[in-house]
Amino acid sequence: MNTSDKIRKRVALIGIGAFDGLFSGLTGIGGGAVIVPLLVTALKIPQHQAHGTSLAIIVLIASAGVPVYAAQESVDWLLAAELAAGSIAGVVVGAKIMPRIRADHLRRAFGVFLALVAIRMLFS
Amino acid sequence: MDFGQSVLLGAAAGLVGGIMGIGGGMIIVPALVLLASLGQHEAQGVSLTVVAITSLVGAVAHYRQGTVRLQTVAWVVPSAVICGVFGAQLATDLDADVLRKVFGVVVLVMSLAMLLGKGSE
Repeated sequence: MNTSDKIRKRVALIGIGAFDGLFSGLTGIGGGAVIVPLLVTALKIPQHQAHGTSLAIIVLIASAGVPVYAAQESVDWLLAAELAAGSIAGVVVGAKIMPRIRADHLRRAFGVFLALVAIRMLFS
Repeated sequence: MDFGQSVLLGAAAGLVGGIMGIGGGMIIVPALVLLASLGQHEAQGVSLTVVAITSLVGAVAHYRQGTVRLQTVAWVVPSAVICGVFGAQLATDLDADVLRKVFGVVVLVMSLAMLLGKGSE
């Protein structure tokens, strides 16, 4: 890799960080759905490594954003702990059954579900 | 929302999020706002905390497998953390109604990506 490629790659990484950080802080969601495709398409990082790398980045982004929300007394820690306990169990089970699921059908169904959620949030 | 309901919601969010390759926050925030009547800010603050904890568990597992590229993390993180704080500050400055609409647009874009995307993940 020559020097200009290296610089271009680093500028891309800084840009991805800025975009994902803003997105994650503003919405309160992780932003993995944004960062993984960017790492895969823009930087040609293999899918599995992109997942692992994005998780490490998200830990730090989310940890930076939480105190800002907490300063506004917006964080119910007990609720967060309960949700996290369930979520960790859910992720483990999800990862195990994922290879046996027709993900394309599920994606369509989930897309419709999210569209309904979006309409409720926008028009109520 | 009682203990059982919130653990169940977390499990559903983790399960679906894990399968879809999106974070659980996309499910947790609307569920807390629409079903548990939390304010938009409160829901997002809780979600971000859940995301931090859940991602930590996932990141440690990936790190042990050797699938975390530390050099990439090092280049992304400075701007990500600065903009993460800025984004969170922006969210807390916004009116709850406006923030809810912003979130609604994000969910809408995600739903279109799910419906129209090829699903390579």
